[in-house]
Amino acid sequence: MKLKNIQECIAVKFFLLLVTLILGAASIFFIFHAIPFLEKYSPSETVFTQTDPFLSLYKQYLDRAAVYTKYREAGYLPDPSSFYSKADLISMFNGKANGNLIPSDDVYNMSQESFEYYNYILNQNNPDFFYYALNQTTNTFYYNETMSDFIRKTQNIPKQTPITSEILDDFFESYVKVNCPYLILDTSYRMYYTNLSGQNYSITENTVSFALRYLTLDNSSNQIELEELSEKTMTEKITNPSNYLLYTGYLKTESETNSVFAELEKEFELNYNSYQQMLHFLPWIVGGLILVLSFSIIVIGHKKGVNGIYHSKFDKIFYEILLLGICLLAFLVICSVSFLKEEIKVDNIFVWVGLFYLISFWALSAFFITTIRRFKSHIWFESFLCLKICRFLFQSFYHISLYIKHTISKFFHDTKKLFRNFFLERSTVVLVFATLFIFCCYTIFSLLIAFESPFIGLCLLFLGFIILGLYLLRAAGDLNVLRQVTRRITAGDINTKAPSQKSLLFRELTENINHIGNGLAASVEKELKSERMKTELITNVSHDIKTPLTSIINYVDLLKKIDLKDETAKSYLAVLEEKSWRLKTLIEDLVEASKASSGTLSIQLQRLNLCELVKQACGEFEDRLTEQNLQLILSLPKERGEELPVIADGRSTYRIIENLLSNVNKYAMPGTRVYVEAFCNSTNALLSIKNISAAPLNISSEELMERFVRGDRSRNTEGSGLGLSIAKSLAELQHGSFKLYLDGDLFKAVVTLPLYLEDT
Amino acid sequence: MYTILVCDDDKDIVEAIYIYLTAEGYHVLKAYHGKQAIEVIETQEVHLILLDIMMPEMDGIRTTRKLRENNYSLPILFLSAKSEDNDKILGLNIGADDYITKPFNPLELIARVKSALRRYTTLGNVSNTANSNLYSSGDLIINDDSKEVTVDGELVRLTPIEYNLLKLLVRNKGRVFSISEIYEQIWKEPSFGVDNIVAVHIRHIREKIEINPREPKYLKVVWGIGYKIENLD
Repeated sequence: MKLKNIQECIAVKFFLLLVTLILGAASIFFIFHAIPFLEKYSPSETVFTQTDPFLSLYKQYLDRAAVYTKYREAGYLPDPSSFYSKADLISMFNGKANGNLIPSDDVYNMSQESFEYYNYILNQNNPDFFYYALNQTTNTFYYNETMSDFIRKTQNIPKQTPITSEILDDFFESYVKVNCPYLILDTSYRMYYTNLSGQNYSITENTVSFALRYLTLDNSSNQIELEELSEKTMTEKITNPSNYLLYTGYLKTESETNSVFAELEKEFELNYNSYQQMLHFLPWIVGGLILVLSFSIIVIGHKKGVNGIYHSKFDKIFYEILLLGICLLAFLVICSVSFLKEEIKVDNIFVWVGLFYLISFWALSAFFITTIRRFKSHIWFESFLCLKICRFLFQSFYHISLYIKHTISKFFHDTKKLFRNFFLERSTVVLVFATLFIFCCYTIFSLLIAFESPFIGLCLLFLGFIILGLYLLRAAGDLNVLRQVTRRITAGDINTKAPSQKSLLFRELTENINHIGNGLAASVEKELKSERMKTELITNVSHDIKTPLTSIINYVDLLKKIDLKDETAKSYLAVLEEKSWRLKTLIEDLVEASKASSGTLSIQLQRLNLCELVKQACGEFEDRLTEQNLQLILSLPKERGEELPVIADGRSTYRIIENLLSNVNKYAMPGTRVYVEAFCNSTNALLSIKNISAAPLNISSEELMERFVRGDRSRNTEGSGLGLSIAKSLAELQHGSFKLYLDGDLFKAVVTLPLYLEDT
Repeated sequence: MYTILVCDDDKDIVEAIYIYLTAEGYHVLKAYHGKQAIEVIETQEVHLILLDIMMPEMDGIRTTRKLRENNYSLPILFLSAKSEDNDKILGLNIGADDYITKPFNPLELIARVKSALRRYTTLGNVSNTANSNLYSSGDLIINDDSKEVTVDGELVRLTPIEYNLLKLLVRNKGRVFSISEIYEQIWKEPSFGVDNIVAVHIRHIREKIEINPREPKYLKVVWGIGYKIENLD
């Protein structure tokens, strides 16, 4: 199977989607299981005794041991007939359990209930925490009573022997210090010695400060200085009155009582296992996902029957919108998960997570697929809206800068031109500068006088302005006159003359305008005259030709009536007759063509029905066309009730159709159909005549409309070759148009005439 | 035996016309300019003049004017190379009966001469009696009793449709009928989609009643509007 087949196979795609779904679900499952561990502990905390929860609990118990010691020093003993139950004690001193111990308060408000609580916590409830407090002054000591059996067992001490401080020292040195995390606090030196350490949680003075302060009842916590006890100082055993040594340690006794430490450790083990599991499986899942996704990348975008990359409408959405959608989805999911975690029971959370996973899976899949498709067809970059905006802005900027550049260069060019034009005529330069010079001199002169006597000076200045104003007024007036004259000449009144000017600036201009006007009038006159003369000439020549032609025609006719013996002579005579009649047509057409093109033909434009005219004209030609075996097919606008009102001259329009139909009669291939069609658009009525030419039309439509040109260059057929030229001129005289279209042997003529509109 | 005066400055044309008219049995007199023509008319009885317009001494227009001023009522037919409408209108207005353009068809010339003579000699004095079944325009007369049509006194053969069509137009002479109007009146059917039957019939009628169907005297085409019979009374 080829790669293309695999790419186009729908089952492969479905399979990939399913595998991705399962792998995604598995990874979510494992990650979700590892979350409790990661939330409570840092990933580097692999040993329970190094974890933060343990260390903080240890500190709490250290503090309690200090408090308990103080109680015992005060003489409190556990009441064997205690009526307090465990639950009572815990609920009563819940606040204290949380470490809200205030030394001064507690010292002065000691009570049996309080003591019972600490006794319970340290001696009965929690056998795993080992403590041993020694008053170095009185040499009295206190320790876990429940620990006795364990100490005896490990130190090989018989049951009868009481436990002394030496035994406890030995036990601590030989067993606790070797096997367990421990902390020793020396109040006399304000020092501690410990092997407790955590990754994030370090044993600092804060850890022991409460216990120390409590034991010494010294409230000036700020001055406390602590040093880490060294092995050496410990062995010196310097005794100091009312000073304590507090030995503490975490001892796993495997007792049946469920201690707080044991519970904490169990929880740690459980979470740590889950985390380990995740670490074990996640690489495999991620590897699988990468494999599946890379195979998906190969497959995505191909579809059966689609060449190249298949695109859906989804691929046209701007990429930013998709990104925004994905971000929104992520935000929503995170928000709802954190919300649900607090509000909903742990049992239900998996259902919710599954639901979210399914929703986000489809969203992410769609996002992934469209991204890959866009990459594959190289439109990913294009699909950014901001890119398009940037490009548009850049282009606009480019155009604007171009425009500004153009404008600036134009301005410079114009300025250059302005100066060049100004200096083009020396007299103008002299005049302008002279005027300016005189005016400036005059102004300076008046100002100088104004210094001497202000009144005369100002009067002179005022006079100067009035003279300059009048001068400018006159120039403007002269210019206006010239403008009006030129406007009149442009409008067609070519005999307008500009009045002669006194102003030096405009005199020459006026004369030149008048010269141009005269020249124009003369040339127009000449043109008109020559056009008239041409038509007149042709008309007169035609008269002069017609008279001898009459004789020719008549005598040829008379010759025909004479009984000629020779058959050849008869045939010659037939030629003579035919040609003499053609000469007549030729002359008539020539006159008409000349008149039509020179516009001397008088036409009367009126409202006509083009359909009626077409019918009439076709009626005139029906018999002749039938003789040539030509079938006339008439198509008139039936939907308009065969009404096509046009503004035209009836005879001229008939002449156009007559010329066309007589051409059809002469040149159409016998046995074919002739299509005559009348229709209209919004402003014009159109008439088209189509036929198949008998001879090949190896000539352009423009040439055909020239005078004396005929479809066959040999000029053997009858006709003057003026018919189409006349038709064109007549159509144009009536504000219409006449066009020819040649396509192979198809000959098509279209006459356009202005429609008669009711409201005009 | 009618006498016809042919007046043209081109002697060959005069000669040719002389031959044609003599062959038709007319007595033909010749003149080569206007003055000569007037002299002939004043000395002899002439029934019709064929007159050229452009001639030396006295041209055709002035000759005609002079003759009409002298109360000669004989038919005058112009024969001219000038074929412009203006020339024709001028000629007919100053009192000519017909206007033939050169070069002419000899047969047409003869037909027009005959027509003018008939009108001048026989019909000119026949006044239309108040016969209600007699319709006419000029010398086109329709007798609805006998279903006969005469032009210049000559019988014309028409088909029934042509006859009805012509009768409709002559009865309303001067009025323009459109194709659809004519169709509805003659065929008694709605005219929708009728192509050029009427136009073809009109052409046939024209070929029968007109001397030159291309330049009709009675049945005129008003292009783009319809047809009419010219009111010549």
